[in-house]
Amino acid sequence: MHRGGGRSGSIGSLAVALLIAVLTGCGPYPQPTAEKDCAREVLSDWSDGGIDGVYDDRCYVAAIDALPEDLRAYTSAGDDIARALRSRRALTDVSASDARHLAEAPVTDAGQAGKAGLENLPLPVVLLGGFVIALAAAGLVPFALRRLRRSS
Amino acid sequence: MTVRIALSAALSAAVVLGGASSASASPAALYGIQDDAWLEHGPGTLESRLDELARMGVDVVRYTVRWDRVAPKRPVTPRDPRDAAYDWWTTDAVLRGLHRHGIDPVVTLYGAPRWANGGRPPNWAPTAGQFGDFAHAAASRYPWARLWTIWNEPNRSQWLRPTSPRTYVEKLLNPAYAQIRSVIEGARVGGGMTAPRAGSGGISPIAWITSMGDLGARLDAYAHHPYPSRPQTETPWGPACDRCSSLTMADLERLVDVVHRSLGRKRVWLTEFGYQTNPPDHYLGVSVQTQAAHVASAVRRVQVAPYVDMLIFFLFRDDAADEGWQSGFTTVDGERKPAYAAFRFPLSRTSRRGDLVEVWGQIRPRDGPQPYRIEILRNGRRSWLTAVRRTDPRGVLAVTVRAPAGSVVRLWSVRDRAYGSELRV
Repeated sequence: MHRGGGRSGSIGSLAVALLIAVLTGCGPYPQPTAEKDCAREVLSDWSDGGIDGVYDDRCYVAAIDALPEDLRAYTSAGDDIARALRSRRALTDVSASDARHLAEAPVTDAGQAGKAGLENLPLPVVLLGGFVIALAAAGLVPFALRRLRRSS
Repeated sequence: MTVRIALSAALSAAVVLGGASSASASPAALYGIQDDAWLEHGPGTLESRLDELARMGVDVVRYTVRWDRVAPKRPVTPRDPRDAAYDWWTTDAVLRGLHRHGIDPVVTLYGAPRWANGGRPPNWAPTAGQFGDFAHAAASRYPWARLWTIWNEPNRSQWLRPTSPRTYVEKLLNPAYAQIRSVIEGARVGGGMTAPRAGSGGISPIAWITSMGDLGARLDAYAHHPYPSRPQTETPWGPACDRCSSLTMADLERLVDVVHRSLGRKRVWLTEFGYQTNPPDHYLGVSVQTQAAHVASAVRRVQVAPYVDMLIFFLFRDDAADEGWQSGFTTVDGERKPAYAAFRFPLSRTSRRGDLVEVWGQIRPRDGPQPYRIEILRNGRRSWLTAVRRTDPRGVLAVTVRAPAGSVVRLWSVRDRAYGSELRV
């Protein structure tokens, strides 16, 4: 059985598949990974001797959630990170008790964590998005031309 | 007088200004290691591993006798170690091997069998008083073992459930204490074995010690694991945290104070301690040089601390798993870290006045006075800072030497023909 319409048709299918993948959550903003990365940054900062940097709230919370067992049980990392979060939130006029509550609550909704603006997207993700759109366009142009020819 | 003579006699900047002298407190302090996995399954033979510990000058080795493994089935006569349900194969090999090598074991009894705790995991306490019977059997099996400890970090739910001082005192510590003391005359039993902080679902060591006192705990020494809260910035000497509910090595005086107020003037044993290294532990590790410096410093800390007479470093060899512990004296591949030499020949700076530096050290292998020298590395050149001198009968030395700030010194053991780790003074 013949399946497809040559080279341009398969590129178009691939492009559509990639587009669907992008739209259904495989990008362009992989929030759990970003959260993991910034949690790692907070932990690295702590392990340098103290939390000097300022991070998004979600990073502190994710760092507490991601504490390896030896850090959680034997060091002050959890307390130190929660304290840093309280200080940060106190500076932004949010009550310390809210911060404490946030610090103690597990992160269950990754969608609420962090900002989702385009300015937060890593460059490779932006490039991949552009490439996908170009591929989709390359696949759709011949298809549209064929439709135009048929209708005329 | 000695100082003046030494100064005038010195033709180089490297001079010895004082003689060896004994440190004041804890004259009987014991130093050791715990690494059950390495002892049981490490490279080479058990005999070769025990030889290595003896060469390092280890006084004691903490070893866990797992009740659930020795008694997977309920014994008919639980106080009799010859009961057919008991399997002492592994523990016999290790404990008798240590005894043969002149190393005192610190025997830790831990882990309830399923038949004793309602079919639960080993961190669940037994439902009735069977633990005392097991302690009786273990003490009968190893009557030459003088040092015993009961359970492990019971203030954390990972190690004891229910995580309650009452459970610990009434079902574990007091029954075991009575039985061990009834079998072995002169045995010393350490209780507590607390982790340095509560962690999630746990109880702070301070609250735990206080409750143990209220509950009439019976023990000869209080055992604790004073791991640092912030390894990157916390040395064995400080900073202490007077308002924290945790108790680390930096808080040693507070630990002793809490113990004495709650339990009477008991001795204190530090039965687990260490600094992990980076690599491989990125978050918790310090450099191998810092680990070595802290090992020597901790030895000195215990040597001079009143009432503290045991320090056991946790792990001879790093865990293979990343989530495990990397506080060993060797890497997982067996490569020695500087901490290995720092344990064997600890050297620690105790004070500086101008170019005059007082150092404290020890040659750990063997008993009796040991010949040693101190070497200095300055401007890329190594030279002897002292002539051959002798330690006191415990291998301890305390000397004042001339060493400009930032220079590096190390101890040379004449008989071992080996150096200690480098110490920047």
